[in-house]
Amino acid sequence: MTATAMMFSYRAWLLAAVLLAVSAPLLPAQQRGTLSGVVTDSVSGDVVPGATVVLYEENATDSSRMIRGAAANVYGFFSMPGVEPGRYLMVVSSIGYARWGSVITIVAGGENRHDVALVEEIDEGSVVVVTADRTTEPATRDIGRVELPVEYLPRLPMLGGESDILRTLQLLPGVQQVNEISSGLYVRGGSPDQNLTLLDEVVVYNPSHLAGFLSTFNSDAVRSIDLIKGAFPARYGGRLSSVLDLTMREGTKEGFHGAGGVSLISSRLTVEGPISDRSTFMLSGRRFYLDLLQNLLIDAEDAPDYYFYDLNGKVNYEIDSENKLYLSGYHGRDVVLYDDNNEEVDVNWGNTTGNLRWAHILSPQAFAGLSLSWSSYEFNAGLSDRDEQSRETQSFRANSAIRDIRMKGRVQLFPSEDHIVETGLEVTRHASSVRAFEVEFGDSTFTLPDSLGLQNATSLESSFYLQDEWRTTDRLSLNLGGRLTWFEQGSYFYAEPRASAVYRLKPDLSLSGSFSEARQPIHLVVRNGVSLPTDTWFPATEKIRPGFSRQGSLGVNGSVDEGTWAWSVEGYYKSLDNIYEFSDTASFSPLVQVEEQLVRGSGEAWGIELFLQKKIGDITGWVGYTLAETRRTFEELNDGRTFHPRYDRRHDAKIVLMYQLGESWDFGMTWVYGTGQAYTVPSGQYVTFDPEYPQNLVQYVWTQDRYTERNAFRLPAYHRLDVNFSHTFEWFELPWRLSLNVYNLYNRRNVFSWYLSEEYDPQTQEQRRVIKQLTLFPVIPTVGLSFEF
Amino acid sequence: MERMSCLWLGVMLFLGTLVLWGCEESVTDTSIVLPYERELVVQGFLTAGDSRDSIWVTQTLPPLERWTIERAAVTDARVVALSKDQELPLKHVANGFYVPDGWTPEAGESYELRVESDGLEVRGVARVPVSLGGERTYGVDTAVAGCYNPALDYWNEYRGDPIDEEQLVLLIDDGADIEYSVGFEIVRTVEGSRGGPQVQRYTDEVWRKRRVDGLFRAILRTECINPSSTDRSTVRDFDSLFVRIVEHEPGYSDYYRSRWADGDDFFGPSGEEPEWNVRGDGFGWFFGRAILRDTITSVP
Repeated sequence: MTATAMMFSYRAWLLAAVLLAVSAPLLPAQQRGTLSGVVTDSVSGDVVPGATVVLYEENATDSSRMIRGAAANVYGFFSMPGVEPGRYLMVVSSIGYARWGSVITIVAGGENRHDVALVEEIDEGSVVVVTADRTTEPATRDIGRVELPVEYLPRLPMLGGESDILRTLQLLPGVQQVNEISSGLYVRGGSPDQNLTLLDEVVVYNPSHLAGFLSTFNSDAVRSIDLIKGAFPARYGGRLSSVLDLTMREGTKEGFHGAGGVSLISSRLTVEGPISDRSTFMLSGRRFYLDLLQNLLIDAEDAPDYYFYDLNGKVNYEIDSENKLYLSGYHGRDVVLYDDNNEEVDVNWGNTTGNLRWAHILSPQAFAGLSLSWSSYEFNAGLSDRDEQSRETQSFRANSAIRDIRMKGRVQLFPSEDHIVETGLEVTRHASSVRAFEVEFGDSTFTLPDSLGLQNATSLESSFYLQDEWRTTDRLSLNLGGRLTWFEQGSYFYAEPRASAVYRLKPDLSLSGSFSEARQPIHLVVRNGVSLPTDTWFPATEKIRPGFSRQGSLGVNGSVDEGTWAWSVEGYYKSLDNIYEFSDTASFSPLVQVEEQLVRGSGEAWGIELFLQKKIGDITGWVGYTLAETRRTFEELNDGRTFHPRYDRRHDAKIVLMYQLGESWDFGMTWVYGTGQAYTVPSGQYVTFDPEYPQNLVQYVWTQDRYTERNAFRLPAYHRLDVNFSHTFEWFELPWRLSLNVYNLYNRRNVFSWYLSEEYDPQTQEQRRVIKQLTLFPVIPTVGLSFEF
Repeated sequence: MERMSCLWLGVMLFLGTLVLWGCEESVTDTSIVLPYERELVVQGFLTAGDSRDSIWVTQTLPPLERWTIERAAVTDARVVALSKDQELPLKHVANGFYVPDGWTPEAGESYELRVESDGLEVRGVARVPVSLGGERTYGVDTAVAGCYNPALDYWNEYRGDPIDEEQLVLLIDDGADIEYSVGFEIVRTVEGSRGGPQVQRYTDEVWRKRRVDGLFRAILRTECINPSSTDRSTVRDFDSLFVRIVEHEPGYSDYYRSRWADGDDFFGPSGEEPEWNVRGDGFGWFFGRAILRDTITSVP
């Protein structure tokens, strides 16, 4: 479809959305008042995004006497316009906090600002909240959105004693793990590169360490974790499938504090505190010490050192009650080093992000945010070899990188009691270098061409979005919006409509639905379905088109026993187009352009997710089950036949259980089950005939394998039970937590990969072919220790 | 305290080992059966004017069985080539090899190969190229600056001063859009390290899929030379040069380059296979070719 035609087809829809947004503020509100404010943590001073603000009748004793509701935005700001003057009971709540309530007076046209400081309360509340489940939900929220409170991560089992955000998210229905080594999120049939990963509103391109073993996010430095599994709202763009939105801690105002931990594989330390009465800071670091273990375990001279580290930092400054500045950043690197007298290896890769944000309350009914951010992902490899006799050095350096600079402005308007309108403009400059090679030989240097064939490849991406959260009736709430994007390279211009709806049948029962279209102008192509740090992001070109997805979901959500139990059933369908993979004959020579190695295809995914959660009590947790299918079709792969990607799972079940064993002991358990990976296996063997050397058929026979259709075989099912006991105690007047984890308790030999090999058969005294299985993790007990000061 | 430290360290080392090194084991579960589907495998050339070329017909064997030519060879297949509305038979010779029975492949003709055996049938089409036209010249290029090929061919070969490159080249001026492979053998007599002459043989094969600027250029031999040296050893210095130029129909080089594809890595098989042009109830390659031979004793 041409850009012109695309614009025309969406014109009517966009016009309706714009008219809606423009007309909404005209609704009369002068005779009424606007309640607004900021919700913060009473101790740290951190804002509390997503906090629910509800007005009840002054003498209300139950939720049926609710008047109005609102939710705090990502900066903790809320606005409730059009409130009749009078006295009300104002109640504010959020996960992990005690409910706050006070009687307030609303005056017509006057200042009705009420900032609220919530008190933390860990022992009550839910572990994971599907926000649409809330019976007091004030307006539409993102359908399929999951909030995972960071406080609960240590209560769940963890591999190696290290809490990992992405691995915990993999315990939710609709989120799959491709293999044990991968922390990548495969959400509803989408691959990890189709997931928009944001840390303080900045894109993180490669959110994992050690080829996916652990995520880049140090849980001590993160304050909130939101995952949107399905059709995401218009404020998000640039990816096809899902959104992971993380916010870093801001630092406490109540004196200098810290937290740290030691696990089998890494150590971490976080410090935070006030800089002044208007400013706080947070610094956090984590280091993985495989290199130190390795030096103890094996001859260190024979193997390169490997480690990674993460650094997070955030400073904020409250200019006044209506203006606040935030400066946050992240830097992480994986490093492989080897150095003997004549040979050096220095390979490193990682992300760097930074963001300067200004949050400004324009009025009780308007909020604005402006940010200037930076994000980069780089892979650098340096190898050098020195000849002992001539003392000449040969060296080889390779680099690939993507570096973004982004300017983003957003305005949130609360024009009437039924509308929250948000609009924004984003301009991003992508600079990508696919593979630059440089070779030095003595005094001579050779630079090989960028293999994308795009020297200094830079491209601008500009997006405008508009969305309206519209409560049409007491029962029906809508979120309508859309994005317009222009991508410079290839001159792509496209529109992406987004819509979602919630219809409340009863206070504790609602129907929901959503629809969205999305495009992704930056591609990540991986080999053999497994993401590696060498994988390169490259922008759309005239030949490589932006990816396209269209997805919809329908669901029903409810709660029983006054919110103790929550349940949901949600179905989804997603179609994908312009997705790319390496061709079967791809060459990885630096002299071959990457563009020439890719083939274009399409895909689709569907699924039904069942979710039952116990939110309150000594025993909490959830059971999730997903029936799903994901398919891909490439004209030039698998002879054009449709195939399942490796991460396709027909059945996927998860059980998460947490039990409070007295005051100081916690027990956590997770059990996961998934249909075996879709896998390609040999279905026969043959010998290649070389007419130039016919004698080879007699002297030496090398068999080759004939394979099934791509991923046509299923490996054995994956299942695993992990448990965790954690004990909190005081030592040196400081709170400590000791965690005892057992990963893979019943020692299931889960398959990481199968391949054919030969081994000696003592009976026949000949070599025989056998299937070899690689199992990564047997039963692994680990110990972790964390503390606060 | 010291004992505790030792215990802690021991536990760390043990667990670290488990985490960092997974286990590899043979799959002994007899209920697991890899899918096997018998397929025909057909491989061979038809060479212009040569009836001795053979087509090799085998069948795939189950992946875990031991491959033997006795079990793999298909000796009772019906193998025919269709050309110009005629059915040309091929007869079995031995071990699954079939040769034209009473006919000779002709340059410029197309042949559809049909192989049938036990209910399986595969087909492939080959066009035998016309004999090489145009002129063939041999020469030496010496004005190539620098001796370091960007493809890093010489990285481990040369450690001297900056030098020039000298190439012995074959140029073919041919209008046809065709694929060539040039096999050659250079025989050269040099002074042996223990005194006395020593014969060196240098053989290689050069592939070029298409012409560049109207010329096919094959580099038969490359040497790095020091321009300041009076004792220049050049590519002209050979006793004899045997060149075998093979014209292939388009597509063969794609198969040739991919023929050892066998995608298998740490993460499991990718399922990569060669680029076959024989299809049906099996797979394989079937191409036409024409062969020319040159013998050169010196290059001006």
